[in-house]
Amino acid sequence: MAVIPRFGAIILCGGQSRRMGFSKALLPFGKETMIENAIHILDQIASEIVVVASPDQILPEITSEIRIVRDPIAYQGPLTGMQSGLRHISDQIDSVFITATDSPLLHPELILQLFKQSETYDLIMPFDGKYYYPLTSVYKVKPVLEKVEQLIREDRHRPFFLMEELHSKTIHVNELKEFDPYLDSFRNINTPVDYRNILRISSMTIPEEFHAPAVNVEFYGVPRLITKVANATLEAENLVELISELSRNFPELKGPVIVNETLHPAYRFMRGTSEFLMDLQTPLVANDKILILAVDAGG
Amino acid sequence: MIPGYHGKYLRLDLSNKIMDFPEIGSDIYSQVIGGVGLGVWILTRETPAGYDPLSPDAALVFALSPLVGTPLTTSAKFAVIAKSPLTNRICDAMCSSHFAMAAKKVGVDAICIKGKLEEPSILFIDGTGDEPIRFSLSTAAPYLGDTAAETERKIRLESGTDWQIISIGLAGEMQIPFATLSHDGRHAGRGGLGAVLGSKNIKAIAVRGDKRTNMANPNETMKIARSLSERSFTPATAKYRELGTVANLLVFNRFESLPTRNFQEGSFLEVESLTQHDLAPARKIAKNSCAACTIGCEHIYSLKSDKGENTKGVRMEYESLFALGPLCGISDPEMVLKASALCDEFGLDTISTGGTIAFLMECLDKRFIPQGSDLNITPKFGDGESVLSLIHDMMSPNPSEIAQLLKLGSRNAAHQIGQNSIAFAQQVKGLEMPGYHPRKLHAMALGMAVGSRGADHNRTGAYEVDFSEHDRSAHSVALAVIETEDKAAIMDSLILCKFIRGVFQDFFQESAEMLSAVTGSCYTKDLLIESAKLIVRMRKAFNQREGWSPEEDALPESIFAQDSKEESYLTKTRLEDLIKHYNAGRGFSDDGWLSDLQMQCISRLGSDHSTK
Repeated sequence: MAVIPRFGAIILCGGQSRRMGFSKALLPFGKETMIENAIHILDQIASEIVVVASPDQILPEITSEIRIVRDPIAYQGPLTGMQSGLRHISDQIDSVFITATDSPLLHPELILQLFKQSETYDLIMPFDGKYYYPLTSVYKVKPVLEKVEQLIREDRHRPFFLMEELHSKTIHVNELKEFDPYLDSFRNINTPVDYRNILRISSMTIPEEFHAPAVNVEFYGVPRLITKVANATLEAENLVELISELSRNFPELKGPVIVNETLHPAYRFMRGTSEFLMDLQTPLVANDKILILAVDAGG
Repeated sequence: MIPGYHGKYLRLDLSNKIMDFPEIGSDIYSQVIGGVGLGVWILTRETPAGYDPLSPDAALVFALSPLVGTPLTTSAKFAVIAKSPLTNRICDAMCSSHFAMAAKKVGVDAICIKGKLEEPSILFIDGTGDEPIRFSLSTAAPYLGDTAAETERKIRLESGTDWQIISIGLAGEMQIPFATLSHDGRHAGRGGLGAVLGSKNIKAIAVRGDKRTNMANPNETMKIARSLSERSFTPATAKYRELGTVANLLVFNRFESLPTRNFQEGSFLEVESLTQHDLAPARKIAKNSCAACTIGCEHIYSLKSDKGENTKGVRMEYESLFALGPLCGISDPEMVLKASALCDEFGLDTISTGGTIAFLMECLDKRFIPQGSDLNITPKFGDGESVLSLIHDMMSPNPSEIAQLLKLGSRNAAHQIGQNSIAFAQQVKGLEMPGYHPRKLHAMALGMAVGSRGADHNRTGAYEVDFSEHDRSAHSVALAVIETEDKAAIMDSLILCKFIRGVFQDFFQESAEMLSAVTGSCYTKDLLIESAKLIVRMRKAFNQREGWSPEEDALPESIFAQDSKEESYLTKTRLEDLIKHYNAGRGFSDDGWLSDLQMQCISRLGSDHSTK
């Protein structure tokens, strides 16, 4: 893929990584860190890349062609990060793709498409029917920087205001499936669960320190009939992750047992034979025995 | 006439060969609905207090319901109600399929059989054409000793396939107190209703008719029926459709609730051998369903005859599997299938057969009874052949001493054996316990202890409480158990199959809508809950009239934790506490008697509940 002239990229990596509990920029992703991975992807398409980090943030060694900018004050939010990035991008650049460091599966083809469709607009922002993706969007440097600075002055820190107040275009993510069939570009990592899920779908090894507890899932009745196994050991820190692991390892459960990424109401989870797990966020512990039980057990 | 009903029941006095048609008032229908509700009302008014269940005084009631014959899925069911010869208490059992629809087309809402014939006979009830409903009798001589299925086949061959038939096997003819009644391979299994029919010298009843009831609001009924059918294909019923009730086996084993070796244990080490290979789907040869059912829960397994030929297969249900398998310590699926087929052929309740055999096995282990001279028919835990031999022996003209004990059921056998063996006769009110070891299932323990027909899993759904998140306080458990019992009372009176229970968001509300659409009467959720409570009280009132005492609402002593090693194990004190809260929740006295006001309400329905 060829680099696009006068098109740059800004990577915001100075976030707190609070829910992750570990600097997202430094998370291993294959043989690289997440920040290195983001640079590698964007390098294929952007003529210039600016990384915006927090004041004391530790970063891996990054090639000197990449400009690293430090926010003056840490953790002021994405708008402040955008401000730093847009201020430091060179005059040669007219528009930029802005991303955070936590979307490791960005597709350059999708970014190219956003760029192409941005033409006369100040910004183009994808939308999935529920959420907007300001950190997977393309912005025109000049008008956007002006608006960002105005918003910061007015103490209005949501990137969404940019969309409201500039000449902007939204694009439904489904229109981008041609360039990223599974819309992986929009998958981002906020928690260890997200991180593991992305590593799993990328067939990458989960680093030792990021493993979730290994629990034993027991199948009875229809789930056993469908999976053809009595039990399985899966790693999950809560039931949300367990459901996602069940779907990945036993796709045949999708429909009869797992619907819309949750358990069908005809089933429920138990820990052992006495504890019903009604809250999907219930933390799991290594060696837990998790039963998938039909609601109409008995009869 | 209220749509959905014929407004009367058929009363046949066999001794005097007199048939008449007492009317049923709309106030009765609105309160007891049909099925078990209607059946217990008729039974109570048609029998004198303290009667012998196998005497000519006894009545056997086949009760239909307003939903029979409508397009509502699983509604082709009928209830059979009588005083049980096994328990001397009320027995209401369900059966299903074409007999229900044909019996309703006779032109009545129930058939009540009283008196006794001099010779074994087949009873024909004909409701076709413009003539009045008529009955006829023919000799049963050519069918004596035949299986129920064979009897049905022969009668339909000789008299025409428009007849639908319920019949008894040899066990019913012999009046074994746990003989079943059956139709098209399905049994009204519990409590010895087959013996009641046998005691009247009737081998089979054939019915036909052409009198349909109207639906008040056919469009609304169709709409509900379509929705119900669609929902009956969802994961909520998948267990029954894909696996049948045998799916319970491994779950119960995991919960230490699979009664094993006469309830001495709650899990069975060899359980996998009953499921992994021979009862696996590969061995399934067919699936069946009742008439007018979209679920199709019946799973038929292949079985070879003793000569090695393929038979038409055995329908296997969890209750038969548990009772003739783990309960007797048997892990060989071939033996379980054979024993189950044998019970079907003779017309024996598999739970009571397995339960009593397991009890005798424990008695022999404990040397409470001497080993018989014939070791082949001395039942031993794990020895399937001995189970088959003992069943054959019981049905022979000269049964051995052990087989004679088996014939009594576990409670009466324990009374003969003495030595406090009653402590491990696993029954309540004389009815052998179903496949739920109650030591960790406290709600089920309560449901079984207070159940009006004895230890039972169908007139209550108390296990649902145990298998769901619930507050474990005695008060909460008791209220939850009452609710499941109320639900069952309505399902059994509508009648709808329990296997569809999972599809309802609000069971009472949706039932009220169904009944309103069919009958045109204005049912509400609250009215139905009131009806449920009334039906439960009517059953209890019948039992009180027949000599019930508070000590009957109990579980065998051996069920209780001897020492509190395991906190979750049921203790006697805990059960007593649960019963106390149940009685309070039902508005009974502390020890379980109906209040005067409750009795008055029942009496106003025109049933005689006065004791002797």
